[in-house]
Amino acid sequence: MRDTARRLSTTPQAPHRQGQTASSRNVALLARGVSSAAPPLTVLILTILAWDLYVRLRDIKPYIMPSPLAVWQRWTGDLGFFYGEGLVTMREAAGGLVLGGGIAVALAAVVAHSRPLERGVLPVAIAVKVTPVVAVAPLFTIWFGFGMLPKVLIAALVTFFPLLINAIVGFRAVNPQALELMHALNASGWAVFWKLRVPSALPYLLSGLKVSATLALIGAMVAEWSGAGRGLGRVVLLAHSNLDMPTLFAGILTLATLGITLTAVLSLIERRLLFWHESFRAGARPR
Amino acid sequence: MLSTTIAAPAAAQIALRDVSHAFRTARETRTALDGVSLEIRSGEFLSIIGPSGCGKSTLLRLVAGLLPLQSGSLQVNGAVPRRAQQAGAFGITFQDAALLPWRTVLANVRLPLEVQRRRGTPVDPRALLSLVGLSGFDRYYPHQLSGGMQQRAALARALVTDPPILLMDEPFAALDEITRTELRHELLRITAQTRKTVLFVTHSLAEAVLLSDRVAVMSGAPGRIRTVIDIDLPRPRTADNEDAPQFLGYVRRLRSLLREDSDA
Ligand SMILES: Nc1ncnc2c1ncn2[C@@H]1O[C@H](COP(=O)(O)OP(=O)(O)OP(=O)(O)O)[C@@H](O)[C@H]1O
Ligand SMILES: [Mg+2]
Repeated sequence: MRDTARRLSTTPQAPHRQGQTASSRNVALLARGVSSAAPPLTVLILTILAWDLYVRLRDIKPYIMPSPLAVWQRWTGDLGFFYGEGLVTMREAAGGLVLGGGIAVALAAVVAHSRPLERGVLPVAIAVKVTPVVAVAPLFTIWFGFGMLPKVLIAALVTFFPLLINAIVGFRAVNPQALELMHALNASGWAVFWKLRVPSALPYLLSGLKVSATLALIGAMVAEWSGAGRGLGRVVLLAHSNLDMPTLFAGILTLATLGITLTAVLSLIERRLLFWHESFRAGARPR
Repeated sequence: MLSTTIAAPAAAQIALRDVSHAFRTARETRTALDGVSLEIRSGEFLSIIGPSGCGKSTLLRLVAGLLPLQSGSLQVNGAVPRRAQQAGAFGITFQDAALLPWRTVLANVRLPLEVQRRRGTPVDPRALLSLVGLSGFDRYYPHQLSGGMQQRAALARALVTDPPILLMDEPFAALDEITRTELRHELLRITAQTRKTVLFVTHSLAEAVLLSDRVAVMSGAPGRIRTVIDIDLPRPRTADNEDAPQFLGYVRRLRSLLREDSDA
């Protein structure tokens, strides 16, 4: 609700900073963190319990389905190995994210200014999107070898579309009156772009980045399946052909933690950068 | 402080002659303005009132060079609006304060100085913030301000390049009555101090009478200037003026002019 008292005091008084102290804010944040982590944690623990019970009671063979404990022991016993390989995959994904994201945003900056151009570019972008990476990955391996490059390219490919769409929408999500103001001030196209369009697009770019980041990670892993010297994808593939289920599951677990960390970091950056945006303001009030 | 615009002796600073404007949409062509002629003199405060959709905002956009002129002639300081725009002739405010939410109040006020490609003598943004009653708020973000304070900041932003002409499109329409009355008097004080030429769109008759030297009454569909009346009230004007019989007489006259239009 709007603060009636402030609304009625017609002459604004010099502001005195109000609100919580830093420590009370930290406690509040912690409490919020715990209460928001509780439901997913409960679900996780219940799932693991059910999994364990099922494997024990039905006496499932370890090469079909390992017990949670076996996975845990394999994973924690060799964390250095898993995260070493994970880092390789992470680098490929990050490279793809920068490459695909960079091209997508640059293209969107141009396309956002012209509907005909958008109509020309979008079908191609959609064609890129619907092409399954599993089909392209072996081709890239033939063209670009077993090194990092084909994986980066695949990651770039899956990153491209979500960021392109979000960036186009974002660059257009400009307050029309702010745009008119810029024109009335005879601002250059460059100034309009950097001072108005880019900040307006930022919320869209960041949420596109969050979607793309996990996609890039999966893309890089899938790319590794069609030939790689290192990486989590290779670990999982080898474990699969050896029927080494604990390793396979530990590999997946590693990927999951990497994905979660990446998303969390991006969310944090988002919150920092978009403190002014409706969705991140504490005590947002209707305008 | 703010420099005084040299008062050219009753020269028409903005001159519209027989200006018409139509919007073409996929389905129809809509005439927003039909043969509008109007002169705004240098240093004059002219308000435009009229029914919703009669083309007030369109007229303002044409003057600001935001819409291309379709027919008639339109001159600002003896040149086409685009030229005046390049010379930094305009300060603009809208119904929505349209502050950039990622900039502090001070950075918002500075924005025109950053983007306007023109050497001039800018006004100190901090001095402007105190002029509009926002001193001490320079590091606040727009979402931390009330609607009235946002409009004050928007007004400071419009004044920062010291433009000779202020174009204001219903700047107080989104505010509550108390804040609105307050800001109305602030504007009266500021325009008296800065001697700007002001083209002001409003739906409030009392506001138009209090602020204006002249009021242009428009009629709608298609938009025309019905009549322009002089507000012959002494300046400086204060809140007391609003109860004077003369003041109320003007309000009544404007109301009946508008009513005739809606009856017709
Ligand atoms: N961009 C546009 N495209 C099509 N029609 C438009 C456009 N802008 C305005 N119009 C039409 O032109 C007419 C005048 O619009 P304008 O916004 O100038 O009215 P107004 O007098 O400012 O109204 P209000 O008091 O409600 O703000 C309206 O009929 C409107 O529908
Ligand atoms: Mg309007």
